[in-house]
Amino acid sequence: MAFKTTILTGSAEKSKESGIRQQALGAAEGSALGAVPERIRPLAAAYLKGGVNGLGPVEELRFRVGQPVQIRTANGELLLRDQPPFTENEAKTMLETICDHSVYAREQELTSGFVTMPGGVRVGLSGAPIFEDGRIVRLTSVSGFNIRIPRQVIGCAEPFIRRLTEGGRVRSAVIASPPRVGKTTFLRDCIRCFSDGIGVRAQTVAVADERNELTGSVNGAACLNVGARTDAMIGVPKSVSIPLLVRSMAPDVIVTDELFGEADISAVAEAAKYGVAVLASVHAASASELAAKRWLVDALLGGVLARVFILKRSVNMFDLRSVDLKNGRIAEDGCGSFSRIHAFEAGAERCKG
Amino acid sequence: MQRLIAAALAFGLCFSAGALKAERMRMKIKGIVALTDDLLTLETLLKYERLSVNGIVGRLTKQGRLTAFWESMNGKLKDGLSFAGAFKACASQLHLDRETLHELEPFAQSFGSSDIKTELSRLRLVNEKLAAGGQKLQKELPNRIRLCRSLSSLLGAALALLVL
Repeated sequence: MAFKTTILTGSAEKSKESGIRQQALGAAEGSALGAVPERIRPLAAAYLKGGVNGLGPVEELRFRVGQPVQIRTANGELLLRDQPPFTENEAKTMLETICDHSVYAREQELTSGFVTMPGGVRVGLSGAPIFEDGRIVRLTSVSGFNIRIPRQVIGCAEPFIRRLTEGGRVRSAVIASPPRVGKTTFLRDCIRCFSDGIGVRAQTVAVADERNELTGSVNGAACLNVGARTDAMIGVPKSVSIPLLVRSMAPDVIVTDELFGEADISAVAEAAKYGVAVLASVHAASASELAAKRWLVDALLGGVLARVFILKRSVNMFDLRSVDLKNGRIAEDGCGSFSRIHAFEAGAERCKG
Repeated sequence: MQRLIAAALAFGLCFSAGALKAERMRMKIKGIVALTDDLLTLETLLKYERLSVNGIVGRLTKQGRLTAFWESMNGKLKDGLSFAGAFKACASQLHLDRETLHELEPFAQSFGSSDIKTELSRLRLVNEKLAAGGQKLQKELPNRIRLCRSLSSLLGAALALLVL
């Protein structure tokens, strides 16, 4: 089986082999540009198209009332100090634009602090929300916007699919990494591979996408490539959506982002009871950080989750280490089951073998 | 003979003008009633389906009573205008007087820019005002029509007499 190799953080030209990625990025960039104030649009278009000199492709466009526009890339940032600062009126217009002139229709997302636009563009929001009964009930005065351009890296998980499956079936696992490594990107590509039968028999995949990061859905339809056999439940807590998906969609695998605490793990346990594999991610940079999460260790010991991996990233490569459970504790290395797959190319070679 | 014809013509013209005015009043009430119905549909779509502005206007082109108006609105929204902009461009198709349009303004100028509670309360207020205005007009309509016809007939008769 031939595997595509894709550079994780390369420029658009470096990933010509992935037509889908080009298409998704085009839609995302167009969508992001539509939200940018008109006076900055030509400049933003140039940066989105060609990247920032020496700093790589644009990852985020940040707007704060009274401040210059900030453009962030993987390797640095650029402040547009020669442009007038972002104004309150522009913030009002931007909020209406990102909500497609229907702020009320995006209220649930707004109270969660983000809105997803066509193309999977996620706009984080800050401002002065109305807080009642221990929760945000309204967010109408928005003063800060973080427009994040999704970096879907088609093929980045392909070399690792064999590590996540056994006998043609996906095994329940947790992928851990610190923020900004690429957990979500990696999980999203795993979903695509499972769903389209790449490296494994095609699976029916259900995505419990609480923060709408995995599928980048608009009106319930995924904007990012998550395969042909994928169903998603968006914006609902995992503890609610996982049991629902198990009962209603009969999936082979459930994929979810950012497990956090007992409620999430009991939903995963519920899925495991019905023989559904779960692939999830957690925030943790090392085995010791993983071991500090008692609920996770208990789930591993109780057989709810079969394996734990730590995902790391250097410039152009993912590194997926399996962390084995020995004698009731998690050991990062030094044990027989420790394994490591380096660059995509190396991983692809191994998979071919 | 010519004077007689001219007098008859003058009377006929005045009477027709009166009838036309009465018909316009009827049309205005019909327009307000249809708009109130459509705004009630809009409220339902807003409340229970939480559709976007484009979605609601799209639905009203099929379910609404003022189909032509909503179709024009839909076209303008597709051209990238906001609801306020589209309404401004298409309001003349509603054949409403300034007073009624003024009542609609707070809703039309800001629809889509607030949270659901604010939108619904603004819409309810407009609906109440429109309904009250419509009822008042409907109550007054027979009298107004009678007045229109009588005045136009009297004016016609006076003109006819003058001609004769």
